Amino acid sequence: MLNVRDLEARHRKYKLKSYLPYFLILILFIVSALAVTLVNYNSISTINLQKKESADTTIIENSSLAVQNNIIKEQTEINQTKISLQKIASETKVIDELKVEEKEKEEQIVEEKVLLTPSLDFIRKIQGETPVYYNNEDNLQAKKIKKPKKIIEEKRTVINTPDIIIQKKKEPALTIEKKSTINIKRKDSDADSEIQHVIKRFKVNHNPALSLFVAKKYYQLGEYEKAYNYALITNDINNNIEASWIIFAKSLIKLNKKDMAVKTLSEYINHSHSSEAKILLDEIQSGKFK
Amino acid sequence: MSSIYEDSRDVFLDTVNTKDYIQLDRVSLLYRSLKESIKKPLKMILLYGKPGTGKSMFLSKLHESLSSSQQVYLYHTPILDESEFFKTIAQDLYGMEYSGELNFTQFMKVVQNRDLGDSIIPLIMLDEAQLYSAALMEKIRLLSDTRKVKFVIALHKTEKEDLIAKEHFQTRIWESIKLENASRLELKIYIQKKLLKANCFDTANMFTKKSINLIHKLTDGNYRDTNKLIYTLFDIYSHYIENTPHLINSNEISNKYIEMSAIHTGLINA
Repeated sequence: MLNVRDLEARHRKYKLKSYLPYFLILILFIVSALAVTLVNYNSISTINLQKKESADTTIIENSSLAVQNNIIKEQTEINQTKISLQKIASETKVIDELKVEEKEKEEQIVEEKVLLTPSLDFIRKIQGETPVYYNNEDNLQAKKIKKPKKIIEEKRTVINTPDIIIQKKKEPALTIEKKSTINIKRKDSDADSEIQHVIKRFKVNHNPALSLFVAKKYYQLGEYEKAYNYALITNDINNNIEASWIIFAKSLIKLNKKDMAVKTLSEYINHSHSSEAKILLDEIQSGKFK
Repeated sequence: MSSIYEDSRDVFLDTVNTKDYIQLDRVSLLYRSLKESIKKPLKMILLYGKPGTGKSMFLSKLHESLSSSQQVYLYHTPILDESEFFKTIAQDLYGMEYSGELNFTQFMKVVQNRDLGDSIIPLIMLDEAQLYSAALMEKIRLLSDTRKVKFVIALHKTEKEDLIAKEHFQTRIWESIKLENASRLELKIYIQKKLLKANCFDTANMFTKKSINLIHKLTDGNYRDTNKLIYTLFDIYSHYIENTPHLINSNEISNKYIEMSAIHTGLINA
């Protein structure tokens, strides 16, 4: 009698055994295929990585070179700007020194003049109309000042993008220069338009030099109230400008406010010890300046 | 349906019955050749082949065929005792009964003194002759030399059998016939003829080329192994048709069941 169940079980085992070598071969094939693909993938990836690394290094080198070039350019620009700034600073220092020297010389001249000529009207006229060192064309110091200004102009053309501060610093010189030329060459009819133009500029940048220029212009034109106002504005912006205080005091005198002018000048002299203010105060008090 | 599978199963019972003899082309050729050899004045004929190649069936068929025309005696089982062997042959050939011992010398005298006249030389067919001792085989050779008796010896072709064939009978055997396993085509014909002979047409048609190839692969064309395998195969079919008939595909033989049969018969070591 056949035991069919047992036979079926044995047959199942037999089939498993018969399939086992094929199964093992298949597994081996799959494993080997996977291994080959992995090896290929790794080799490709390493090649790609090497390529990428080389590309990266070239890019980095290029970028570093570019950066270095940029840095060098920037450094050169910075150096140039530094040099220019240094030059400008040195020039401004030179200008300041010249100004100081000029003032000292003016003072000496004034003292000499005071000593030599007791009349202060001439000096007062000179001081009241324009800054002494610009107005006096015969003065040798003015010639000395003009040279550094030319240098500054040359620097501006070289730099092309000068700092705003530098511009601000230069503007008074320009305006002063312009003013000097305007005062000499232009007629009074043109003065109003020029004042308006300067006022517009002042409204834009609130430069005390411009407001001082306007105050002086109005004072010259006899519009003392406007001169007073612009001198007051200038003092509000910067209370250490001697010329502004002098215009302010002179305008008050012209507006018949002598006490206020004396008081203001006295306070300014106490604060700044300005010799020019002292002279003006003496003249006001002595009645020479009316 | 179950009776068909059972009938088919019984067709392949491993018995030697001349009614079940299947006439195959190659075997028929050999059969005719053997018959021709017997007519010749040969003293001994050797029939050899692997176990299960049909030697016994061959001898049986020959015995059946020749028994009507001449004296022919077939001994399927070897008679290993020498005296018993001679006494059995003396009784069958000459009707002489010996109560005591009959040695070779005495039997030789009896054989030599026999006058056959015009009658055909009697034929003795010894199956499984590889079981006989070398001494007895030598005495059989001496008996054949008397030309009063012919021998057809069937044996397995092993190294030992080769030795017997070559050393002891090389000069005396004039004819040797080798039986071999069936080819695939012969196996298919064998199986289908067997089934058709038993009117199992449905099961005969179930054997496809695929199933025959598998059977041939398992049995190597050996008739005995094929009989055993197919017997078990139809036994399995009988079991399934009784218990789980839905698992049976009646159109063709399932390779699974062939393999199960092979496991059962030991052709597959599972």
